[in-house]
Parts: sequence; structure tokens; C-alpha cells
Amino acid sequence: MKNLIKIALRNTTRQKKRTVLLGGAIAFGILVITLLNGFTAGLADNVRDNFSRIFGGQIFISGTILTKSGRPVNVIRDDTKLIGIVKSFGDKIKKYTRRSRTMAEIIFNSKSVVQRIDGVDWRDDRNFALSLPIVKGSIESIDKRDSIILPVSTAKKLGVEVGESVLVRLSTVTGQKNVGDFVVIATVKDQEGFGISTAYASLGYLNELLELKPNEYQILSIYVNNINEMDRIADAIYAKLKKIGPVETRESAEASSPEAMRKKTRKSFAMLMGGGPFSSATREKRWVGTKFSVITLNDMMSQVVSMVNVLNTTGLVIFIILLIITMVGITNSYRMTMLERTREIGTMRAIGVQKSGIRNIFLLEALFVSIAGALVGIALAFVGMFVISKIPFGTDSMMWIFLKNGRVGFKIIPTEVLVNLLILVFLSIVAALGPARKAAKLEPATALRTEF
Amino acid sequence: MFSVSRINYGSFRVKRFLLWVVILFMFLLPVGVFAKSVDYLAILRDIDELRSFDKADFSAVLTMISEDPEKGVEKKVVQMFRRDRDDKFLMLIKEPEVQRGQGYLKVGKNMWFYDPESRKFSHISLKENFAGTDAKNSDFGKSSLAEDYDVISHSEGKLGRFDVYILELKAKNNEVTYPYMKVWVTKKPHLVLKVENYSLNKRLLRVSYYPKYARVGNSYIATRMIFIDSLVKNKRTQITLTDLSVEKLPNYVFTKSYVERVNR
Repeated sequence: MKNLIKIALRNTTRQKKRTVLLGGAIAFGILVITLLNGFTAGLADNVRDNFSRIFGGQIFISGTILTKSGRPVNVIRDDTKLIGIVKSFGDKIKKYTRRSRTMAEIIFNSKSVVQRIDGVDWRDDRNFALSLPIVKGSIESIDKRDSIILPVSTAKKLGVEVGESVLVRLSTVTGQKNVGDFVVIATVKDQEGFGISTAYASLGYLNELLELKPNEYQILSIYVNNINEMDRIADAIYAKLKKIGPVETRESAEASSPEAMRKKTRKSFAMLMGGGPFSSATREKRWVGTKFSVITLNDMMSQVVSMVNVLNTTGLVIFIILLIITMVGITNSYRMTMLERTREIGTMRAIGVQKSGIRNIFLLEALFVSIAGALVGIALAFVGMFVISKIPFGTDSMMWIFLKNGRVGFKIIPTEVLVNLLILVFLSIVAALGPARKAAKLEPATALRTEF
Repeated sequence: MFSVSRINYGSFRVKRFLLWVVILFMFLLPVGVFAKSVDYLAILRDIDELRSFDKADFSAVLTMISEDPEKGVEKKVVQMFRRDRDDKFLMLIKEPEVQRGQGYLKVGKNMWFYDPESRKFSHISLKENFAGTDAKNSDFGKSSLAEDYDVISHSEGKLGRFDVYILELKAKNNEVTYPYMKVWVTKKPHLVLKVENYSLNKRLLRVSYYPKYARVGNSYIATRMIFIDSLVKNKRTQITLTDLSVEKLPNYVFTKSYVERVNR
């Protein structure tokens, strides 16, 4: 066997150009699929991380109560049981924060911009304040009740500078008009291209304007320790909430039809954007107490997941096409090799090399070329990922949501790379098997007589 | 005895005094009662009644000129249909061309916006501004001041050459758009000339003027309305009503299918 390996290795270097071309084709195939897989996996993670940062969590629980007239109002009044349930998950939950959220009109002089405003309990969510990508100003006076942090684009549209006062016109939770005075203390980078830029104000003052009591809020945002567990934890919270009161039906992402998921995504997004109560009483049965709804980032990301799946499928199709081309190339190359080496095969057979030995030389040659090609391809893919991930696209780009700190983020899943490598090697051997068998079947005398 | 005679004398004077008081009271009472008998809630009811078309349908063409410091001047022409007895109205945008076919249909407590591009209806609220103007959707429907507001103070004054009641209103519930209002109403008939809308924390949000009215059937309709945004400088909308009619409208006008097919 050792000799066969030596011969196979020597053979790969005999026709260098051919070997390089064959290995190159294999390398290109695995390069494309590795890059694409790394990109799509990174993309899904980046979107999840970015959404998580924007919305301040991965699981979101909102509450809806009915007024005497049957109007649904988005508020969580008493969260004792809810917090008890959340705490029961122990260290699976990293932290939770209480927020109020509204769409409001920010007015400065004769200009106005409709903007989502999050009411944040800054004492409770100090880390969030520190993580804000401040462009101008500072968060020193963040604890003042009338402080507001505006996205850069909003400040630009209004022509307002840090330190100046703005008016905020909004509707209370029951729909009455109200106005608040705020002082801009800082501006932050925003993601306006996706319509999800957020201004931040103190929870207490926003509650006052929304006509909520100081201890009330609208959304409980939960960060989990393991992002992959978010749906499982959300389902478990939902099951526990169901036991204590009314809950908005939660469909798991896998069980829903595409249309149902689209509707759910729209609904979830509207709620998270401050677009009113999640539950509507007009078309549904009325309820008593607070009706909770539990949604996760994945519920909102179904369209992103679909996009990732499409990209992965496209990548797979490209990979299969490249594999077919490479296999045809390998088969043809080894046929030519076999013809070129017919007399050599005859000699080897004449000096006692078995049929299986001849076959194995061919197969080992294909194995070495494919492994070398695949390794080069994977190495090139890593280099490509490294280089691409260093290119800054800027945080103001429309693609911001798909990027990690303004750069393309790749994620390498080792099992995926290994599976691709094994498939490629296996198919290369299969492609070489035909010519290898044919070579093995050559009669030594006939082979020795052959002249080209 | 002395004391008795004194008592009798005293009682006679008291009786005579009381008699005069009663006579005076009987003369003054109607005046006093009349002076204090202005029923302000009745004025609100009267306003609602005069501005409503409960017995007939109503249609008109509205020309809206909006001035916005950012967008400039925009003109909209809207066909309006009202059937107050069923709490329905339909507003169909005819101009500008880009908004042509957009419809705002209200049936009872439900209101929809129809977008001809996507051919979809979406639920909207009466509290929202109409098509980006300074008018609210609720400005075009049936008036319900008496139902929604209490009069918390009142005075009399002049607005231009008109003698008016100035009523300060407070919402009866927390679900109306404006929690506080100040209304200037002419004494006879009770027509609203000016309205100031206030926020929950009593900030002036909007001032509306109704300088021109037309009598249509038994009702009065403001044929010119001016809405001024008090928070955004130089933002206002003027609405003029023409082609007023109280002709009966077909039932299908207030249906979604009509809104869909009308501009096809």
C-alpha cells in the first residue's frame, strides 16, 4: 500500500498543469460553498444581534388590557407573577428590562419627524445606555426626566443640535393627544434605512405623557444567555403564562404556514415598533385582566430566515453544478491518464501488480487531488472571509442590519465545512472509479502492445 | 302684655317686609332664572344637531389647501358623502393624481383607508389626520360634542362682529382625541366659529376657524374651515366646500366594493 501511495503521489506531479486545473476546479467549488455558507450563517446571526440590540432583548412580552368601553390598551400594570415566571428560568435569562414605546411626532421650529421613542429605565438599564453608539453629546445627564437621545438622521432632518429643546406630540395609551418638552442630550447612529431608528427617553416621563403610572410599562424585554434557546424559553414562558391568565396564541415558527408567519411578523413588528396593542378586542373574545403576548426575534425574522434559506439553496445548486462539472472533468482526465499510461499499466501488471493495485493508484490519485484542492479551497475561503470582513461598509449603509459593526460578518460552522469536504472527496473518487476500473481491467500483454 | 304688643308690632313689620320680599322675588325671579338658565349642554346638543344631517344624505366637493413649511403648498380635491343617521361617511380623493382613488370609509365605529395601488383596505382611526392635512378624520363626520364633553366654564364675548358664548370643554372619557377644548359659539343660531384644541397637559395643539356657513336643509355646514397647527409653525390647512347637496345617495356608496370600483 505504501508503494501505491508513493506512486499515486508521484503521478499527481507528472502532469502538473492538469493536476492544478483539476484541483483548482475542486478548490473553486468548495471555496464558493464555504464562502456562501459562512456568509449566510453570519448574516442570520448579524440580523439577530442587530435586532436584539435595537429592540433591547430577544424575547418580548407585552400586555393588553381592555378599558370599560372595550378598547384594548397596551400596558403591563402588575408584573409580579410575570417577573416570577421569568425569574424561574434562573441563569438561562441574562437580564430583563421594562420599556414603554410609542410612535410620536418630534417637532423643532417648523419641522417635524415621526419617530419611535423608547422609554428606558436608565437606572435599571445602565449597560444599554453605555452601549449606545453616541455621535454627538453625552449621556451624563441621561437621568434627567426631560432628556432625549435622537437618531442622527432625525436630528439632521429637524436641524436640531445637542442642548436644544424639542416638542414631542404623541397619543396616550387611550388615544388622547399629549405634548412633552424634551432636551436633546445626544445623537446616536441610526438604522433609518430599515425604518427602525429609535429615540430614547426616560421611562418615567414617557409614561407620564402616555398616561401610564410610574410603575407601569408596555414591554418586558428579555435577554437570554444562549440565543439558540430563545424560542424554547419563549414557549416555556408562554406555557406558564397560559396557566395564570389570558394569552395571545403563540404559534411556533416551524408550525406556521408562510402566510400566517407573514401576518404574525407584521403584527409582531407593529407591536415592537410602538404601533399599538398586540391583541385586538374588536374581532376577538373579550377578556378580563392582562392578556400577555410572547414574541421572539425569530418570530420577526421569518423573512430573514427565508432569505437565508434561499441563499443557502442557491449556494447548494451552484455547488452541485460545480461538482458535476468537476466530476466530468475528473472522469475525462483519468480516462486520458489511463490512455497515456496504458503501457505503464501493462508493465506494472507484468511485474506483478494486481488489478486492485492499479485501480487503487487511480483512486488514491483522485483522493489526493480532491483533498488538496478542497483544503486549498477552504484555506482560500478563510482568506476571502478575512479580507471581506475587513472592508468597512459603514453603519449608515442600507445593508447595516446584515452587517456586524459595519462589516460583513462570516460564521464558520465546522460540521458544514467537513460535510462539504467529505461529499466532494467522495464524489471525486466516484468520478475516478470508472477510468480506474477500466485501467485495472487492462490485459498486461495488450497494454504493452499498445502504441499511441 | 307689653311684650306681646311689642311682639305683635314686630310681627306686622316682619310680615310686611316678607311680603315685599316675596313680591320683589316674584318679579325678579323670572329675570334671574332666565339669566342663569343658559343651558350650555343644550348649546352643545344644538351645535351637534345643527351640524348633523340626520334626515338627509349629504355630499360635497372639498378643496383642501395645505401649507407645510417642509412640503410647501399642496392641493387636494376630495368628494365627500355623508349619511349621519347611520354614522357613515366616505371621502374619495380625486386630486392630486398620485392619490387619486384613495378612499376613507367610515361605517359606525370602523374606519378604513383604501389604497388603490395595493388594492387593500387598512383599519385606521378617526383620530388620525386626514391624508396628511391638519384636519382629523373626525372633523368630517357627525358632531358629538354633547356626548363627549362637559362644559367646565363659560363666558360671553365677541369674536369679530359676532356675540359669542365661549365654552371650555373637558372630555367625559379618556378616549377622545382632545381632552380639552375651547369653543366660540354664536348666540343664534349656535354655530361654532372657532375651536382651540388642547392636549392632556393643556398645551394648545390646534386652532380651527369656521368663518363661513351655508344652510343646507335644516342643517348648517361650514363651507370654509381653517385648521392651524399650533406646534409646527406655519402649518395650516384650509378647506372649502362646494357643490353641496342633500340628494339621497344610493346605499352602495358606503360600501367597500364601491370604493374599490369607483376609480377603476
